[in-house]
Amino acid sequence: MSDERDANEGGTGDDATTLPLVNEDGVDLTLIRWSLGLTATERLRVLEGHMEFAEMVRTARRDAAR
Amino acid sequence: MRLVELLGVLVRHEVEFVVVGGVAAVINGAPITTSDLDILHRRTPENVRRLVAAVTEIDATFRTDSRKIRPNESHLLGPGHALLQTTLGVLDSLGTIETNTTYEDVLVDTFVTEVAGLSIRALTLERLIKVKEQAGRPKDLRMLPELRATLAERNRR
Repeated sequence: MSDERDANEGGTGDDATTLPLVNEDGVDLTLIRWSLGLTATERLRVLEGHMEFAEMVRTARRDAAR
Repeated sequence: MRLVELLGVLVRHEVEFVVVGGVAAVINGAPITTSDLDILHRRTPENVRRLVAAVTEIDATFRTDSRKIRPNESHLLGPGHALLQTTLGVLDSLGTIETNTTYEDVLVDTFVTEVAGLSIRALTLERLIKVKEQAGRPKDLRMLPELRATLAERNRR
């Protein structure tokens, strides 16, 4: 998803022009900034959505194997 | 996994616990995914009684045992890990973390936050990083770069 990004590449907006998009370990810092901007409730709702999707995929794969 | 609902059942039963593991990471702002809720529960007889009542309400059984054994007070009073399947999802209720670290030991490294109107106590990001470093399992080590980056980003703000 972010393979083509340069670690020192800026984005749009004043803050983004000076902040790296990924760190030296390859961690997507934009996702972290986005997550830190959410409330704890919103973060857990996002996680619940991921869990629900993963469960849906697991169920679909199980059903397809039958 | 109905995570918030599961937390709500524990809170409604007045269980004393600290959220640890991946969900604690998410509460702290790390954009990671996990498939279970890990809690460190207080192992007093009163609290374990409340915990048993809570997990009984959601039909908890040991997911590692095909006999579908239900957790009781003696299971949860010990230092071990109760790996449970419930109607609301997977719940790991831990008597200790690290090397025999208890609920009381870890309280200094926790904070209380509001989640959907519930007061939830979670491990701090700093302590969670130490826990994962010490655990040293591949799945713990994989999470570390994102946890460290989240801490650095939070401190930068």
